[in-house]
Amino acid sequence: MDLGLSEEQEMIKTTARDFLEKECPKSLVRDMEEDDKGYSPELWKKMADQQWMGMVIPEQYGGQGFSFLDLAVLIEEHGRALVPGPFFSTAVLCGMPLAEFGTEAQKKEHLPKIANGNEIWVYAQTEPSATWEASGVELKAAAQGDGFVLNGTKLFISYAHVADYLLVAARTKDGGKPEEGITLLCVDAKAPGIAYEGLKTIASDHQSEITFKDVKVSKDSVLGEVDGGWAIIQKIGEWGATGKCAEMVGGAQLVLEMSVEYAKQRVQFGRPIGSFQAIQHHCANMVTDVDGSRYIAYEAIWRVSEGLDASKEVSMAKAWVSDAYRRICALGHQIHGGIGFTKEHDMQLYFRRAKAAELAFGDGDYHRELVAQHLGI
Amino acid sequence: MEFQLSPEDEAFRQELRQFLREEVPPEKTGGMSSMNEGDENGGDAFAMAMRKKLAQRGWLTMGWPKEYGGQDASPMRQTIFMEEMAYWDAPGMDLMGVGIVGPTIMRVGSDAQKRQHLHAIAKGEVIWSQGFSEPGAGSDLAGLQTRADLKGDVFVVNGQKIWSSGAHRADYMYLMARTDQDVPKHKGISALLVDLKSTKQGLEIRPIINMAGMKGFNEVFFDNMEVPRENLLGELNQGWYYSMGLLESERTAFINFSAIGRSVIEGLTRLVNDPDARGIASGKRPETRAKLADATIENKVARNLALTVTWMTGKGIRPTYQASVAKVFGTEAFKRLAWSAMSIVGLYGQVERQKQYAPLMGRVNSIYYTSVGMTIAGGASEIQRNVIATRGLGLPR
Repeated sequence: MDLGLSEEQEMIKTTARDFLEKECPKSLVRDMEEDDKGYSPELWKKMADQQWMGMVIPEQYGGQGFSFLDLAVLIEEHGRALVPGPFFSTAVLCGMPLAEFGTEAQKKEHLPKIANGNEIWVYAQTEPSATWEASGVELKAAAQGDGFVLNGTKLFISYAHVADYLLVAARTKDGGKPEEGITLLCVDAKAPGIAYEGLKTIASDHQSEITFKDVKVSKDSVLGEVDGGWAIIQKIGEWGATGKCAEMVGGAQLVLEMSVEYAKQRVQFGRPIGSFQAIQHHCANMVTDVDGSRYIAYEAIWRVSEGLDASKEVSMAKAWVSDAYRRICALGHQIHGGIGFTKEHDMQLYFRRAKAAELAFGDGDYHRELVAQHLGI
Repeated sequence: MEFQLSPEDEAFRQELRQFLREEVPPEKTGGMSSMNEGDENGGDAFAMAMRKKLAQRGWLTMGWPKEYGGQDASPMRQTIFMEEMAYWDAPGMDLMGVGIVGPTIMRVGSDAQKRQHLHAIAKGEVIWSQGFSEPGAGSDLAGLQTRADLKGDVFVVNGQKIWSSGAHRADYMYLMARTDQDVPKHKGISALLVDLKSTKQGLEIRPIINMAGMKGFNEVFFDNMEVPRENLLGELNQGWYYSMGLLESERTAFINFSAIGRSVIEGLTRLVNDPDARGIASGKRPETRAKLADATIENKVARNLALTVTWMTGKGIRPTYQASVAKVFGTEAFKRLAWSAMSIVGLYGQVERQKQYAPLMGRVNSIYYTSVGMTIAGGASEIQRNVIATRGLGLPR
């Protein structure tokens, strides 16, 4: 049993924190909320120079060959700094499945470009059906000639409008169980027939509705097996859910620090409000939730990273951390009082992203039901 | 990071499980409660016999140094021991003697005190109780008023203690009393080792029946009770500072909450799946599923927080606020579990510990009671939160 970071992971953490404090100030985070692209190509390039996009990509494909656990340590810092842009989607949601399930040709073609920051990838699973379950995948991929023709809609897809490639979950066969007949396709994001319509969303994460009208993709764009996409989607779900947990832990830690600091500075009734037990107990509850979240998140991340069966632990972590982050923000807001409710204050940046992260890859209710199933109830 | 036990630790857990399976018949379980049950149903005798068996295997004081009858076991090994004992609800543990009195005597006791007490504790032969809280000194323990005045070769003790766990059947008491009235409150307290069995005068122990109907706590009255001077532990007026180390010795015990909770959750899971279990909420109901999923997740969080304290202790990192976090969360999650458990078993939850009709042999009903005390004993949740905020987060007092 070892609940600490390795020396190397400590280094990843410190380096990332220093880098992001300098390169990703809150002013940039705010600018990107309003920006058309939603991310800074300059910062993207610098992140690539830090070799972050290729962190878990094997060395033979231009990456660093680190573990998912190592990457989670970096993602935690992204959650703290609120790094805007398609990093999570590119490195975690697409880079990892490409490296694990891609053909040699796909890996050779794409992984080096992901690693050096030249390809932005976005994962497109959800649709107007608005569920993470297999039944939600309705976008049709009809076999035609040597490939497929896509028709349908993807919804709630962040940074799709700046992507070079979309990793699309599509239905290739009807009938059977919902889990059967789903195929993952690597689609050129600029292919004819694809249109993007931006959504204004709570986390300003530049989500789109993507419509596919007779979009042609070749057969060699299939990731994994035709009709066998669901197993990969579940794996992406594990990376995605636990990666989001790491991101939330990073954000929650900062909200805690910001709130404690404010409680020490803010004077009312002639004394710092942090000397009042009502405020102290809010802070104590926050740190309890932050620490509780950290370990349940990293236990799941560790299992995923080690290749152990992790689905129960992933659901336990995602259910817990999603709700805990919301509680932490609520207490942080209570401590900050009116100033925390302003747009000028940073609290709102975390509050809004907490909700988006909660919803990503299933919220508390969704994962609690999965936990109940794992208990055999 | 690594969230699994080493092969050696895992082997130890298996050995322990085998032992407990053989030694603790289901009707004798109830470790956390039976130690408080006094002499009813022979629970006491069984608990003491069990304690001796644990001592014979070297497990009772495994965390102690070898010279005092221990095994120098790591905090993780000790935690596994605690966890398994609590999970099986096995009697025989000795938190007071092994966890608190023994280590303090090792640290500051005289050679004579070490000779007299340590091996007796290690062999599981003696029962220790605590004399800390008073009617006017609970959370503000340093405000205690029981006085011990040194007259010649004896301390003359006057005053009253309350919530003295197990004093009604204990051999000894670790007593904290005021020995200097003229200094700030923390600086005038001493620790005395009181031989309850040989004290004939000036001592009265009255059991307090708790709301579960069990003996456990006591009021203890001192009326010119004499304690030999050589029973002073460590130096005069240093008692408060010794007590500061007490909680630290209890660190590995935080695992208990999640361990008991886990066995209850497993029992409930069997019940809700049992189509013949009438009156029990069905596992098909969304409310039941959500309650048990929540309880399972909280149980994992509580266990991780307890293990954090163990892990830090093993690494030689002093947990500042983490012990309080583990205590608050562990006990409060346990209380929420008790509420959920009672609601799942419905009308049957009313039936108290008996063979017929009481779900999980009365365990659901019993934790509904015991969970109330857990968030109070050993530093109430509110006090723990003060500690987390001031010591952990540096908020001003």
